[in-house]
Amino acid sequence: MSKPRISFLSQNEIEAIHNASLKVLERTGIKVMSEQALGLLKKAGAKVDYASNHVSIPGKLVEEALEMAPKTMKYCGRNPKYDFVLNKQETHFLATANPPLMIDGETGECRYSTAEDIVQCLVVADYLNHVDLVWPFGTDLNVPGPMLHIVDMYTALCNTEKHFEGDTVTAEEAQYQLEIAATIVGGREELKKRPIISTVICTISPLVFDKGMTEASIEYARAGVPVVIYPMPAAGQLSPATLAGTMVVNAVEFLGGLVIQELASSGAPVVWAPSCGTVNFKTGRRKWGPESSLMSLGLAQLARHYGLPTQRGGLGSSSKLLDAQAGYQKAVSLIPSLLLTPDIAGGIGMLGPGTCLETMVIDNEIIDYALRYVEGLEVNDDTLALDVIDNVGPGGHFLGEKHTLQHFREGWMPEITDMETFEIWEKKGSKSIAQVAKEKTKEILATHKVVPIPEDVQKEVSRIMKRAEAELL
Amino acid sequence: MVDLTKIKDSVIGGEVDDVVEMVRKAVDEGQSVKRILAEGLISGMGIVGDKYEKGDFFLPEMVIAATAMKAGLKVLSPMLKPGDVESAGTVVLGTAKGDIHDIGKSIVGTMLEGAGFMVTDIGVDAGPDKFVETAKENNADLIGISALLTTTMVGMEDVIKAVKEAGLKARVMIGGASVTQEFADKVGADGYAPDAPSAVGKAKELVKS
Repeated sequence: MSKPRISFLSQNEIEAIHNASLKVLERTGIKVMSEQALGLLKKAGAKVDYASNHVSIPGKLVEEALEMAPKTMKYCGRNPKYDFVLNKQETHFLATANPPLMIDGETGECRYSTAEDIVQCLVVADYLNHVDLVWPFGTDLNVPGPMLHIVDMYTALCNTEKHFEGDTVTAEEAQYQLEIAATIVGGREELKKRPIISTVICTISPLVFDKGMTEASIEYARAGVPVVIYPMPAAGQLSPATLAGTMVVNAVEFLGGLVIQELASSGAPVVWAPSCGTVNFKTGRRKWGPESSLMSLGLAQLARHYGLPTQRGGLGSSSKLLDAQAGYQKAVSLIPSLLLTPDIAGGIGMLGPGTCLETMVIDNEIIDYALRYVEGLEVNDDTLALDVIDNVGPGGHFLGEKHTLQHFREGWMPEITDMETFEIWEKKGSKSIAQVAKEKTKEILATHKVVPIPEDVQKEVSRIMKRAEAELL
Repeated sequence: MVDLTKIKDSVIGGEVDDVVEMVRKAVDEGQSVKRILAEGLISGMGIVGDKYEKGDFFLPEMVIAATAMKAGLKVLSPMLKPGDVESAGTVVLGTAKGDIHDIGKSIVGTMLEGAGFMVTDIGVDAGPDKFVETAKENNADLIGISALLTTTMVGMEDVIKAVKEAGLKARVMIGGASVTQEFADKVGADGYAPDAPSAVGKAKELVKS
């Protein structure tokens, strides 16, 4: 099978970014707000100044961490049929959304998400065939801060059987999250073998590691549960205005985080999500555009060079409506992303500043289309079909050929995309894709039933939740 | 003699070193401190503001010009008498408790200073007491609270309550990636701005009202 693929940084350029990153880690260093992490770094030979939280990391520590980090890892779901392996062979899709806001794709109405919205998104994600894992879809502002990420995880695990990649901002949260997940899979050892959760650690660009998140990531490393390191520099604001300089800042933050993870527990599973933004220099707010894709794809190449798993965006859009802009931004960013086969691609459910329930159905369709495209085509005797061409000859048609019968179903067929004649489209109510998606979403919510956590396990998990509330609130 | 329009042009161009050097020289020459301030520094920032409004200038130009103006002002400040500088208002700025995201708030601070506000930045991870105390000490007209995380933005409500309980005259404005007007209304903030440039407009509006 010939598959279209891209790779645009040369080996020299990849090495230049790597070497520059090592230089920054040693010369400029990073700021780590956690004494626990500083202790690990100092013990390993990094130059640490506790008073300023500054650490200078020698290249040797980075090279060792790159050696120790696993090159493949398992991501599992509550139901093993949703398990998959990050091994650089195929892309798995993440419903990411954009908490805490919800957007109505038809009217553009934007409001804070509720507990009900979050459950609805999870049910739709559980149903959609291309969703392999989920993030928190929203924020229930009625949940107190210290419980928020524990409740996020609990809600997700109750309402989908797929893998949950959550947020964790303190070590205490991490401990409860790990305990809940372990209870569901049958213990700590089992969780290590079948991690049904993972967590995302955002560095604070440029070059700062928060205390809570860093210590949470150490808990995950020691539990053998994957951590996604997610630096988010923005060119000209949180990193140099030039794309290569921004890539260096991203790589430095990733490598710094990787060193901490591997020192906490050798062989700790780590995924790199090299998100790079640009800036709307009129307002100072982050914007996504072609340069974001270029930088992130370049870094995905560097991750490949390291042999490590990657997670990327895929279906981003800044549109406030399910309109042409939403469609072209999502499609134009997804296809190049898939051409580099990141292990995970995100963005299902994202629209503008928030989460849009019905866009999930459209995103699922865009993925289906894009996957067929990156699958490529096969050239062999059967597909060249010389005998069939000879048989039909000039002026005939191929509809009645056995060869056609054998192959025509291989072609992509849409589920919700309109490819009908005008008359049929009109007869079906002249609907826009936004309307079709809304109806499909309603149908899913009315019919799809998520398999619940077994009752005895659920009781045990509820007890942990109560204990967390008593301790943390 | 240093030509004050050259100081003004250097503020517009964000030439920090040139501004400092020329302001020093102008002072040494015995030029009027008030005139250096008005015709050099402040008029430069005025033009930068106009250019931004017209769409010719962007944030980096605003920030670097404000930095240049501040550097010039620092040279002048020992010589300034009360009343020489007309302040647009006094602001206390900080990031809410539990949050150490610094940058958004700092950019707002620089922009406010560029627009003539006196700003006291209390840093990150700041609780209600810190906001209230600093606002009292500085007799602040305005308190600005920033939060990036959804877990920390809820803490802004505690600051607003504390400000009201303390009976301060200061109005409160909030901002941050997860904050909207809806949230600002819910927690009883006097104002909200979606980005740094509009924060300046909102601050002016709140101080006047």
